[in-house]
Amino acid sequence: MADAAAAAAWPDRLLIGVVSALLLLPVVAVGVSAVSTDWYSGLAPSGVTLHWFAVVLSEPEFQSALGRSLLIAAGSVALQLLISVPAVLAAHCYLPWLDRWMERLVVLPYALPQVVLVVGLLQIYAAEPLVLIGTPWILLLGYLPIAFPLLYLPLKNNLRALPVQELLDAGHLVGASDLVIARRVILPCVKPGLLVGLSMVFALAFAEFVFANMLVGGGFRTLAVYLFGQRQKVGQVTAVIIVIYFAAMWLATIVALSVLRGRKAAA
Amino acid sequence: MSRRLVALWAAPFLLVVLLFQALPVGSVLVGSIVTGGEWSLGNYASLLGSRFYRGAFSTSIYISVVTSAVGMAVGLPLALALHRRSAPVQRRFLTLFNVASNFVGVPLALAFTILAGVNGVVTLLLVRSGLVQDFNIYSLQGLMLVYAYFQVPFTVLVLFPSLGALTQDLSEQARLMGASRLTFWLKIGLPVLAPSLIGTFILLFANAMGTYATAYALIGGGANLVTIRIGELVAGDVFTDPNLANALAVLLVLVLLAPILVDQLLLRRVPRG
Amino acid sequence: MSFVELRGFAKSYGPTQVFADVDLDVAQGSMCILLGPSGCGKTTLLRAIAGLVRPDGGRLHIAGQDVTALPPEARGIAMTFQHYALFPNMTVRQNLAFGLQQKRLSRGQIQDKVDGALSMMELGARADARPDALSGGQKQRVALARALVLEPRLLLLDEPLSALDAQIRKRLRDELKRLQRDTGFTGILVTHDQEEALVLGDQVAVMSTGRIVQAASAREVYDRPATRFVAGFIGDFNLLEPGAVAQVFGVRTAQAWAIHPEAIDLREADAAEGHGLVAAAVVAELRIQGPVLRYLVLANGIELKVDVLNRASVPTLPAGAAVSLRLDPGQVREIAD
Repeated sequence: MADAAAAAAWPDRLLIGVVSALLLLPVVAVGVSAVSTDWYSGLAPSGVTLHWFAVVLSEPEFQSALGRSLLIAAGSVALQLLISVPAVLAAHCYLPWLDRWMERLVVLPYALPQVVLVVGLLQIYAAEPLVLIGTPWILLLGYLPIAFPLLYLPLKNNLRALPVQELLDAGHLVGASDLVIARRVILPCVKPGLLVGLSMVFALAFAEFVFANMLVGGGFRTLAVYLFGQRQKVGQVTAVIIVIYFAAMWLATIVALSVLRGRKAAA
Repeated sequence: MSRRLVALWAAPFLLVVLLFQALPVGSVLVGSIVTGGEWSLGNYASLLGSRFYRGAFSTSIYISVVTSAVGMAVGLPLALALHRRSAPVQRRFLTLFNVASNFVGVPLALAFTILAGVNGVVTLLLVRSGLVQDFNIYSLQGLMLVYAYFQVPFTVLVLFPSLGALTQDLSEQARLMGASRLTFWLKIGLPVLAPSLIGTFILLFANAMGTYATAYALIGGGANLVTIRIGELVAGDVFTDPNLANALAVLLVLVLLAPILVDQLLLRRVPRG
Repeated sequence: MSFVELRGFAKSYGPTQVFADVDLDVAQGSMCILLGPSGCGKTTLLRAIAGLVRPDGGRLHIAGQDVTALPPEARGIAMTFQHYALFPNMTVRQNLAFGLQQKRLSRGQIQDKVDGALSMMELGARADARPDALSGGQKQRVALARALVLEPRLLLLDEPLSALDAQIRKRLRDELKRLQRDTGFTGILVTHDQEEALVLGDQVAVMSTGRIVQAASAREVYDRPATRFVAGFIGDFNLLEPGAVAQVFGVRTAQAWAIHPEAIDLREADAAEGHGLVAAAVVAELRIQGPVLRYLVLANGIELKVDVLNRASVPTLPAGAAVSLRLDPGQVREIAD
């Protein structure tokens, strides 16, 4: 097997290498542009500077947009933990009909583009009795169903590998309630999937543009909407915002994950 | 614990899904058959009768089919190549593809503006090398290039797990039985992968068809895509018509749902054995 | 020259040697077992014989033809894989026909051969089923039928029974034996199960860390293990070092002794003494293993395993009972290394 693999290895390596390089190209371009003094006339920038970072970071509107996006992302993670996770557990353990239904819900984002939901949400929540359009609440609540598959798939994968019914029975025999078993046994066991899912929820809520722009817009300007507004500025400014945007997303994800990990470990 | 109490755990979730997914979809459906306060199919009639909106569908479908085909053409060999590499290599590149397939929307559009806009380094390279006279990222071709950027890694991510069905001993067995590589692929490899390939193509198609942010950030209202038209009808500066938007949204969902349903109902239910 | 003749086969991956100096002779119409623990190189050796792995050195002749440089498909070999490798998109019948189609046989010939193989393996009822609708045992029978229908000069079987559960494994083992007797195919079978090896093998080649340490008839390998490793792997020997031999039987010896548990006679202590080596012992434990009773006895502080046929007339002895052991010196195998 290794012989055949070794003989056929170079075309595979070449293909993987070339495609990966092409995929990295825009990322590299953004990174280089962000630290360039000037990149108009030549193939390479004429100098390196951190000037653009200073410009962007000192902008108050940028700072508050960053804060708003972090808030929405953190709030979305909290809502999923409070609302979706108990539902997934209940469905997995006791409500097979809901479980089957959730499995089908997973393809929904592909059948139901966000712009379609925007049309409906605008009709319902722009007027009394419940005005949510223009407020951050429509984002927090609206993201819950569309981010749900991101949480569900890895969480469900972990749950499937776990003999949940036996764990519940064993727990009941020693007098533990479902709540205690869920918190002390089941959740710790599915933590890897849960953390992966929640970090993807965080990333989606942090970066989402369609809802943020069309349902809220100027009322609660998130980073994605702010970035869109800056698209006519010089390339270096947008590049810096993109760099910070991804850096903040990854940093926040890492921080959020380590906080969750630490708290679970301490508990 | 009683079953009623268990249902209580799921109640908030069901409520949110009802209010923020089911209700808006219902509202769109109902609104699409209302014209001027009366029940009618007028919205659909005016959409289907309009050259402009028919054009939006054909452009959207064209872009989606082409970029899905590109995604498959590059992604399938790529996934197979990756499948033959060692597990650590696979993990490393799958992470890269995961990041790339999530690099979408406004940042992606602006990154391509920097890379391949009027003064972008790729544009300059292409023009100076004489390969092209003029390259415009703010065009349909440019848009397809940007779509391909997330379609290719998306293909690999979706397809990769199903390649496990094509184990090495299958190809070795076929070889021992005297089958050439071509015969193996025609008689065994492709038929085994066919359901995943079809499923992946459908997801790719939906992925492209439903894209709004990337196209809006790159070209704005100038791109005659269904999603852009829907956005314009509900939040445009010039002219809004929510009920027309409703009907357009329903048609879009039908185009997306039809292949998914056909795939799930017909192809997957074929009794095996 | 024997039908299959392997000389000096060797294979390394970088610094890791998988197998070396492998010589093997398989007579036409016989079944040779490659027996060894996992990681001993037996599967890679099998793959090298198939041509799926290129050996670093050595030659392979089949029916007098040097096939060392031939690709797998040109060797006239068929192989079954541990996890069957049935083509999941094809029915049982299509799986069987696939290899014949590659040989460009006529439609009628293919039909006849496939029907013959199906009835031989009693698969007629499942001919139009797809692999994922079959049980493990059925899958393995399809894999066997698919290999045999090609009438290969040599059939290679990689752990054919290891993925099955105990009941079906035994049944399929006996079926494989019957099949080999009826069709007379020449086979090399890889396994780590000693019982399987003894039942199926006309010849058993025991492998350890990439080398064949003993290749002989099943009886020979069981009765006369060449090395300590073979003794430990093949049988359930009592292995006594020279010191222990002196302690139990009071005999001086330069080499270790391997004694089968069934070779020792166990009697109640007051029974008349017979010929041979004799020792006094105390029963420590009795395990009822079905056809045999396995006693663990302590003879002068040394624990021995003794098997007694489980006949209704044989009384069981409780733990603590004093017994005497008798051993025919001809039953003792001296282990050199």
